[in-house]
Amino acid sequence: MKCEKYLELISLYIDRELDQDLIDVLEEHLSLCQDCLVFFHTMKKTVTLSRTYYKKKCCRVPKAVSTKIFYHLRLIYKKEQF
Amino acid sequence: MEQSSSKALALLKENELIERAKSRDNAAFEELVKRNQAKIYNLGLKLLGNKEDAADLLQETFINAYYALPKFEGKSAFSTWLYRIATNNAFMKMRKKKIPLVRFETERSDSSREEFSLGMSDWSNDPGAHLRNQELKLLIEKSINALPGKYKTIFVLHDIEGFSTEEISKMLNLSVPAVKSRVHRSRVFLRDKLSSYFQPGVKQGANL
Ligand SMILES: [Zn+2]
Repeated sequence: MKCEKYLELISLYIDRELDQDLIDVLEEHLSLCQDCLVFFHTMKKTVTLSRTYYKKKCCRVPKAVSTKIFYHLRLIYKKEQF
Repeated sequence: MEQSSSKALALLKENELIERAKSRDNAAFEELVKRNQAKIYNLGLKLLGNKEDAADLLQETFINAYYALPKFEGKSAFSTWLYRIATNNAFMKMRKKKIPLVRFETERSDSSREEFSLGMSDWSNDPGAHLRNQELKLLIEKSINALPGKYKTIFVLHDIEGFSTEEISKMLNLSVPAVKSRVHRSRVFLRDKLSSYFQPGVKQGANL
């Protein structure tokens, strides 16, 4: 199998969704091929970095935004009553 | 319809609130909005990239949800159902802004598809340390925003929000294998963009 074929399995491997026989085949290749091993580590790091980045960026809903939604909903309730 | 008092509502389980809201107990619906608004607002920020659009998305999503709620059958979790409405709204906004939904902006010119970043060194192990670096933060944000809309949405739902491929397939009307392959393609694209930061000058590739 070419490296490209192994690389297509990397995401499933990271997500633990790969069947055991393919895990064996992939792990054997990763133990022999430095390039694919680096690809595997950097793919994992890409996910971790993105996740860490967004975790630190979580925002509260601004009060004005929330108030506006409830205002609009109440207009809708009124309309629905007629 | 009989209206609940908001104090009592705060103690109710979500299922109970949904049942009441379905029969137009509006206070119950508003409690559902309160409990879920932060999730949808933050999803909007990630998918659309600015506060104004995120606020619009939030409002449209709950107004749509209000009208659609009587048809909600509880086959999926309520949050999954809300995300489905929210992502559909996000796609409409992206279309209006002419943001490509499925086409990658950088079509690679060289045809050697099997090549990838050969010899790229491993990246350092502490993501927190990296993220104190402003340049990297901007690069992550820029890279995620460069993903086509549907890929970005799938990446955010799967890798950031932690939804399963099955849940995403229901939200977006895609097959599970299609979701999985888009998760992978998104990661490959992002890894490629980030690798220029970790090792400038390395040839980029790995387009699968
Ligand atoms: Zn290899």
